[in-house]
Order: sequence, then structure tokens, then C-alpha cells
Amino acid sequence: MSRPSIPPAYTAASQQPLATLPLPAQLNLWLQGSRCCVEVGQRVLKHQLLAEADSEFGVALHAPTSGHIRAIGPLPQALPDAPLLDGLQLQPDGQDEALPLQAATDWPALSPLALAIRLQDMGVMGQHGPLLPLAWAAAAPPLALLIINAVENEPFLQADSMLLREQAAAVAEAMTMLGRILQPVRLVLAIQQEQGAAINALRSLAANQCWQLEVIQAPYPAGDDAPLLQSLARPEESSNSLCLPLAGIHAAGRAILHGEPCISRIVTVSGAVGQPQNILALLGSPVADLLACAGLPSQQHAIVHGGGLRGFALPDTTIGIHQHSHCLLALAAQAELIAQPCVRCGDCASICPSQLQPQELYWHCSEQQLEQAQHWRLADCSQCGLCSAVCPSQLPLLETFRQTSQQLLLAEQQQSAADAARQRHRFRQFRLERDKQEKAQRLAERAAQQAAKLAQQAATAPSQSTTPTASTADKQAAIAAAMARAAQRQQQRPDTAASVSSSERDAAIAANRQATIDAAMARAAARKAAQDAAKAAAAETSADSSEQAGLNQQQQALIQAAMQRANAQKAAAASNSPAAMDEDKKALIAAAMARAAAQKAARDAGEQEK
Amino acid sequence: MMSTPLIRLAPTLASRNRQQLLALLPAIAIQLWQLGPQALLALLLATATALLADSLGLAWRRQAIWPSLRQGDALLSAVLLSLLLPATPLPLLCICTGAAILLLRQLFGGSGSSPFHPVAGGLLLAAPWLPASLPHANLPLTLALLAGGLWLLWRGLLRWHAPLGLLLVVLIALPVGSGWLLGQSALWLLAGWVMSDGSSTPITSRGRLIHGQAAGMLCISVVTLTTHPDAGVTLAACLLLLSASAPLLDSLTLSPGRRT
Repeated sequence: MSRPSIPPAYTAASQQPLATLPLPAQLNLWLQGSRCCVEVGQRVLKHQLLAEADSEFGVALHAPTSGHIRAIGPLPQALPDAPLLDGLQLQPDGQDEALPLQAATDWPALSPLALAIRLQDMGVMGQHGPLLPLAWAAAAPPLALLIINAVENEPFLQADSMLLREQAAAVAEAMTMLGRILQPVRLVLAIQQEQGAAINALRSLAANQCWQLEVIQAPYPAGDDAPLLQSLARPEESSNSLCLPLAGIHAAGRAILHGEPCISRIVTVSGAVGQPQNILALLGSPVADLLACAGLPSQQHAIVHGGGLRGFALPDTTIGIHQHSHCLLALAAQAELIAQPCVRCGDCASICPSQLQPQELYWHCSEQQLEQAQHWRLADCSQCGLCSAVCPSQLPLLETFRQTSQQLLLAEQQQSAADAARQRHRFRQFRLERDKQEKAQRLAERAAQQAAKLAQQAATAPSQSTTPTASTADKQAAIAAAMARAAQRQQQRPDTAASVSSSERDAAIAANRQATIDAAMARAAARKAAQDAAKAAAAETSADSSEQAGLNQQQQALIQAAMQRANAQKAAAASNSPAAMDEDKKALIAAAMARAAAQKAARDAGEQEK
Repeated sequence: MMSTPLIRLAPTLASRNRQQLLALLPAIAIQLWQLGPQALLALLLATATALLADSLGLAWRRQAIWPSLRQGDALLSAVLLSLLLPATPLPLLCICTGAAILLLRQLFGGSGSSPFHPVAGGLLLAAPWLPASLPHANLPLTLALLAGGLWLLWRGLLRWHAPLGLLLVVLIALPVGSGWLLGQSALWLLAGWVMSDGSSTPITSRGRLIHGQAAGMLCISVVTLTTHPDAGVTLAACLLLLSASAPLLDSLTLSPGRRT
């Protein structure tokens, strides 16, 4: 089946001039990945920041006019099935009192990332999130081809054509700005053959500019980003090219060159309205106001958000428009469609621009077989709606694919969250195990070293070495306790460095405390070992001296020292030998005691501070 | 709530069936002119039977009757059968039509669900009672059908792959003596209105081409190797046989495609 042409009645450009929507009684704004920074009841001025982006994918929101914030919370949004998402209700006060705009003159010095962040702060949106994706801008790859997408070949859409007709100079200015900052090798404005008036408006401007006009003739959905990139990018450019929507470019120009945040957009209002036209409306304007402005007769109508093929029904006309509201259609209420069973005509497969098999996909999607749906390449569906438009049985193909894609996305997000949690848990277990092993090893080594050192000392000065060593060990333990106390105190003190996040601080404190306790334990173990060694040495000396009086004391001392040294060396060499294990155990007991002492000391210190 | 209200870029099922009926109008006129009021009576009786049988089946399956009936599948089947069985006794025509609709459409779950085309089934059912003499070539009827088929093709409503496969084989087999088949109106009726149906043929273009070629080869082999005279009945039998192999052809020719 050949691609059916879209009837010209739907694509004829409106001859009506651009209308401006009167100030609505209420604006219902959508917080798209942004955090509110105003309060209910507060009066805000036009252009005032209402919400700032709280993620890489969010954009800031500015007040479209002056007025009072009436509500902040979940509101139905102009999306398929009108889900409740975070929104903000602004009641205009009619004065339209604006903050002064600060036009930045430093824009030629902006880096791509700085530009992307500024656009995000100005609330300029692209297809998904900020106009320039922050991750892309941060990587700042060399840009071979930048396409400005002004193609409108979905039935009814005229907003971009109208924007070009009205604001061609501003758009050209914005493109020059972008070309200067992003430095693409080639900057192309793509437009459809049928958008004649817009092409004429641009032709006069296109001479001697850093951008070219590219007129495409392919039918719908050639204006989508992916097919457009495919058709315009040369093979060597295809990997580093970017496609941006025209409305976003215009808003970017206003934002960067004039300091004006994005607060309005052009919406095509068409269908069964009295006068189909393009209306410049503030973001958040209720759909009902736009339809009334275009003269909607009072009969029952289905309100469609979006173009003639991708559009979806809105259940409620109080929903506010957002930055992706290109078009609103009022359709005379039709007899409800009764979908007939699939007759396997195969038209959907022959029209699909992604070469999918929509009939198979539809079957698996409606049977909730998500794996099979993925096997039949649901991910490659561009949701162009052509299959639904040609299906003789009027099956809701597009709607089903949309819902299933949403489900898959949700499932994917949940899966990745679960994976991350599992990985975290495994790593924690591994870390605990590793810490335990390391600690035991460290303790054994230290104990062995201390024992060797003390044995040497005992050998050189067998009789009087006992008390001084013990006293130094005591001193060391006291120092450790003091350090532990200090660490505790530091922890209890209110945070001094606000910039450090609390989790980092906690981790640092814990590490510090652990280190201190470890030190105390090691020292206590050393003290114990020293005492043992000294005791043993003393006993041996006395026994030897009583039995073998004839031997020279000096000689005996030398032999003992040699023996002790040999023992110590053996212990040090094989720290996991049974003897070392005993030492280890003793050291651990000592460590526990030291820890208790340190805790007590810390507690005391805390109480004293209080 | 209306789900995805759209611009329709292609006619609906009911409209397609209406246009297929419209394309049959010249053939109906020729038959009326050739056979007189008896043909009109046969047409009316077959239509009434088909609608009755379809309603019965729908009621039995507890489905809404009118939305399905107004799609016109039953009507189209009845007209095709009355054209294919011109000089049969009226009771036989009614029985064949009713049985085909009830057994081959409604029993399988309505149009779209049945893997066998009711018209081919009805024709096969009537075969034992058909006159054993070789039907003579009916040139005016054939030309009228050809005109209707070409009109459908021009409107983009004819899924031409299977009929093309059949015609290719018939043309290639001309030396074997298959030329007389081209004069048979039944061949053109089955090729243009039965083989272009989606549910009894494979869904891919390649599969349909293979389906048509296989039907042609089978039909010509049977007609030339045996003494069975009626090309229409033979082709109908071949089509029923090959409809059963459509799932196989589907699984051989259908693939999710290259991942992008």
C-alpha cells in the first residue's frame, strides 16, 4: 500500500494573522522536573522565578504574568490520559507588573555548558527536558551538524510556520547566536515544501548567514527528529549531530539575547472551531480559553491536544497548555468508534515508517506480553500514528503502543532501582567482610611487632623493664582515649561546614572514630603483650639464677635475648600460627576493653560538655 | 472517552466492503441481463440467507448484531456466491450460503478470525450438485469482473499480491493449455474478491505471492491432470487447502525486522 497523502484541507496554512489570547482568569502551570520556590498566597511579578530545575531533565518555571499563587500540588496535565502531576495555579491580577529584564551582553563568551544551564534556568524546553541536554553539553563534543526543525507535516500543525512568518528576524538572530556558541560545522534550518509563506519570510534573511535553509519534501513523519537527521546528515556527520525544535530556538534567542524567560508559545487552534487560527498564549492558559478565543460553538466536542495523527483526547478543558502544546483541535462529537477485529489486511505494516509489524505488536501489547512486544520492536515505534490512521478495523493501535511503552518504561525504572539496591547491599556485605578481615590481620601484625619489640627490651633490661613499659602503654592508652573523646566531641558539635553533605560528614566521623578506636586497641594489645613478656622474662631470670649460679649473668642474658629474638621473629613471620592466634585473641579482648573504656570516656566527655 | 481521535487516511472496513460490492455491480448487471429475473431472485435470497445466518451466529455468540452486520461481510459473501453459482437451484444456493457463513465464519469467531474464506467453502459445498459439463467461457462477465478488479486496484483497495501470483502461474503455464482458465469468470471472481481477503491468506506480501503461486500451480495441475472440468471449484478447493498453510507461510516470512 502506498503512503496515503494527507488531504490538503488539513494542511492548508491559515491566512489569519496571529491572535493574542486575552489574559485568562487562571493559569495552570506544570512543574516539569522543577522545585517550587514560591508559596501559596504569595504575589509574584511577571518573569519572576516560580520553580527552579531540580534535576538534569527539569527546567525552571517563571511567572507568565503578575498575580497570586493559589495552589501548588497535583493538577491534571495535557498529556495522554491527563495524569495528575505537580503543578501550580496562578491567579493573574490583571496588572501584568513585570520584573525588569536584564539582557546579558556576555553571551558570546558562554561555553556550551553555560549556555545549556542558562537555558534551563530560563525555562527553555526542547523535546525532552532543557533545550540543550546538559549531559551532552557537559561532554561538549564537536558538533558537525545542528538542525533546527521547523518541519510541520502532521495535519493541522501551523504554529512553527506562524512563528517563522511573524518572527523570522528573531529566529535568525537566535540561530546566529547558537551558531556562535556551539560552533557547528553546518547549521541547517529544515522546513517543509508546503510551508510557503514561512520559506519566503526566511529566504530574504538566509543570504550571507552562518545557516542554510533546507527544504524537504518527504511526507509525514519525515519531520521527526530521527528521520530528519537521517535524511539531512551526511554519513560522517550522523554520529555528532543535534536536532532542536524551532520554538525552543526562538525562546532561546529571547532568553539569551534579551534576558526574557520562556513564558508563552504559539498554539494552533483548529478543527470544528469558528475561526481556525494561531494564538499566542501564556503558558498555563486553560484549553477552554484558547478554544473560546477561536470561537468554539457550544455543541459537544472532543478536545484533542496535538496534531491530527499524534493527538490525544483531553478529558477536561481547564487543563493548562505547556511548552509542547503545538495544537488544539476541537472535533465534532462522533459516534463512538467500535473497533472491529483485525482482518489481517497488512496495511499497518506496509505504511509503518519504522518497518514494524503493528498487527503483531498490537496483539502482544493488548495481551500484555511485554517481552514479545519488545521482541517485535516496540522500542523502535516512533508513535507516529499512521497505523491507527489506516487501520480499516479502527483498532486503537497508537493508544495501545503508547500505554505499553509507558508500562515498559516504568518496569525498566523499577528494575534499575531494584538492581541498584541489590548492588548496594552486596557491596555493603563485601565491605563489612573485608573490614573484618583487614582489622584482624592488622591487629595480628601489630601485636606481633609489639611483642618482638618488647621481647628485645626485656632481653636487654630484664629486671627493670616491666614497669616503664607498662607505664608508657598506659600513657598511650590515655592518649588514645583522649583522641576518641575528641572525636566524639567533634561529632556532637553542630556541623561547622555546611557545604559538606550530612552523609559525607557522618562517614568521615565514623572513619575517624574507628581509626581512633583501632589505635587504642592496638596500644592496649601492645601493653598486654609487654606485660606478659616482662613477666615471663622475670620468672625465667629468677629460675635460672637460682639453679645455675656458676654461669655468667651476662652470658645468660645474651642467650635469652637471642632466644626471645628468635621467638619473636618466628611469630612475626607466621602471624597466623597458633601462637599468634593466641596473641590475636588476647589482643581482641584487650581491644574490646579499650573500646569500652573509650566509649565511657567519650560519654563522660559528652556529659561534661553538656 | 474517545481514545485517539484521528484523521482517517484509509477507508474503514464497512467502506471497503461497500466499494468491493460497487466493483461487482457491472458483473451483477451482466448476469441479470444474461439470466433475467431468476438471477435477481437468487441474489435476493442469497443475501437474505446470509444476513439471517450472520445474525444467528452473532446472537449465538452473544455479540452485538448490527455493528457487525453493517460492515457488510455477509452481504459481500452472498453476492459473490450468487455470482459463482449462477444456475443452481435456489434451495441449494441458500443452503450453501447459510452453511458457509455459519460454519466458516461464525463458528470460528466472526470475520477476521476464520482462516477459511466462506465463499470458497460455499462453492466447494455446492460442487457435487453442479452440472458435470464444462462451463463455457462467459466473456462479458469476465470483462465486467476485470473492469471491477482494475477499479479496485486503482482505488488501492485490492491486495494484489496473491492474485498476481496466481495470474503469473496461469500465464507461465499457457503452453500446458491453461489458457481456457482465463475465460472462466469464476477464476477472476476468486482471484479478485476471495484471494485478496486478508484473513485467509498470509499477511506479508511475500507470503501472499507464494500463496497465489501455490494456488495457481495446484489448480492447474489438478485441472490438466484430472478430468475435473470446473476451474472455479478446483481453485476454491486449492484456496481452502492453502489457507490452512497460511500460518506456516506467516511464520516463515514474518520477522520483527532489523533493530535500529
